[in-house]
Amino acid sequence: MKKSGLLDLLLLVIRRDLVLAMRRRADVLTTLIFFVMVVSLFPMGVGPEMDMLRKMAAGVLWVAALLASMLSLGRLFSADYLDGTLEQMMLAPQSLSVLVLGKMVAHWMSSGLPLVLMAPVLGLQFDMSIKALGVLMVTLLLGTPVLSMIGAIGAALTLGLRGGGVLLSLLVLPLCIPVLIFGTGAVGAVTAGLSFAPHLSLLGAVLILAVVFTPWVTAQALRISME
Amino acid sequence: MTINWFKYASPTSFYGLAGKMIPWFAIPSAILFVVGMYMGFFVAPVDAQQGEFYRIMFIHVPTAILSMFFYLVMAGYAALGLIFNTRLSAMMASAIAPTGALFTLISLWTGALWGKPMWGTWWIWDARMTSQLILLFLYLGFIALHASIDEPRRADRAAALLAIVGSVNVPIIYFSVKWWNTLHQGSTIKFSGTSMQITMQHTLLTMTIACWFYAIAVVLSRVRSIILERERKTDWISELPEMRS
Repeated sequence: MKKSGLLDLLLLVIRRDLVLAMRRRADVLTTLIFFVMVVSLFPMGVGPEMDMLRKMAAGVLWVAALLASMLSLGRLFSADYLDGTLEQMMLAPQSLSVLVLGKMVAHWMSSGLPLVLMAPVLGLQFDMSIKALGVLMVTLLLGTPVLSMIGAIGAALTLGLRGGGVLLSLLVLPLCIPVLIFGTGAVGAVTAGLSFAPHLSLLGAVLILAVVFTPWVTAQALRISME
Repeated sequence: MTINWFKYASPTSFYGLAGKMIPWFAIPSAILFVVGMYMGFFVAPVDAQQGEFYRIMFIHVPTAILSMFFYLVMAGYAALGLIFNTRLSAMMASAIAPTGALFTLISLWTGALWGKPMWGTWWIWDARMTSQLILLFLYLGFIALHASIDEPRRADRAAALLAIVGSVNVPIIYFSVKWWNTLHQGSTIKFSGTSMQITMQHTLLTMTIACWFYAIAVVLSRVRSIILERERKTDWISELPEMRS
């Protein structure tokens, strides 16, 4: 029998979770619709002046993306927890961290990536310049995986608790603030005519840190929750 | 003579020790509060620029410093609990959390009271104030997570992990907020470089120690309650003199 490497395992978990997500398309769409709705609510709340909206655009899109990613986090482990798959994953001889990383990537592809692809359309509604839109997309591309990863820690800690959803947001949102700041900071720098490279570098650094540490921390959190 | 460091790591022996230690912190704390208040209100001179308002600082600065310090202490106890699997460490962590949150709240509140006359506004999105607000959120998250898990062992370990993740995040949050702030506006007030008058320094020090001792006394008495609650079914609790009466 061919011995499967870690990469094969990773791809296997990603493929499995993506297939599951595709079988329940409504869940993916709900997150996306929520994102569009929250962003559309802002002009109605603060008024249609384009100057103000242009200034707010990056912040609004980022906050909406943050909230939308909270929405789907509850589902990250709960289905596997309920049908016992998670227990089997923990008993498996392969590293739980790698399995968790696979689940994170799949979660990002089914909930974060649609937001990134949707963002330019919504940005146009806020009259953002093409350059700012491009930078916004790059920040979202770098930042939303971090949201999925930090969120996974919270999802693992609140696994199977009553009122888990609200609690999850309470735990995870403060930890996501740096991502929000660097993400909107880059777009702010573009509109101010400054260099946006430092913000992107910082965001990239946060992403790398998250990739290295969060799967392991999440695996520990799962062990605590499942014992 | 060798000291058995682990003797007081068990709730049974720490319960008595904590009871004996509480007066040693509570009484000095009360005395220092009285002395500090007297010095703060009557001895320390009026500030040249800020008038009488600066006196808020004598409660604001100690609570602000200690609130951050206690988060690290809490995370330290949480880490000890996770690593060595000692029950008492986790109890200490959950005993510190409410006091830390309270200090954070007091520092925010007094900061707002001071900001109104000095800056003309209750709140500005200054780096320090923003990160203090986030610190309050972190404390509340810890308390909320601990409260919503029924099984104490799982609650301890889950909250401990959260505290550790939070403490790793605190510097990142602080610097991100600082850079975010400087992007929008320069820092309004700089504390560094102002040489403080010697009486003010002494008053500040007195108040800081008073707050510190108060916190230790309160945390110890809270940890005693937690021990009683968790170990209520054990024999040694039922044999305590205060239980029999």
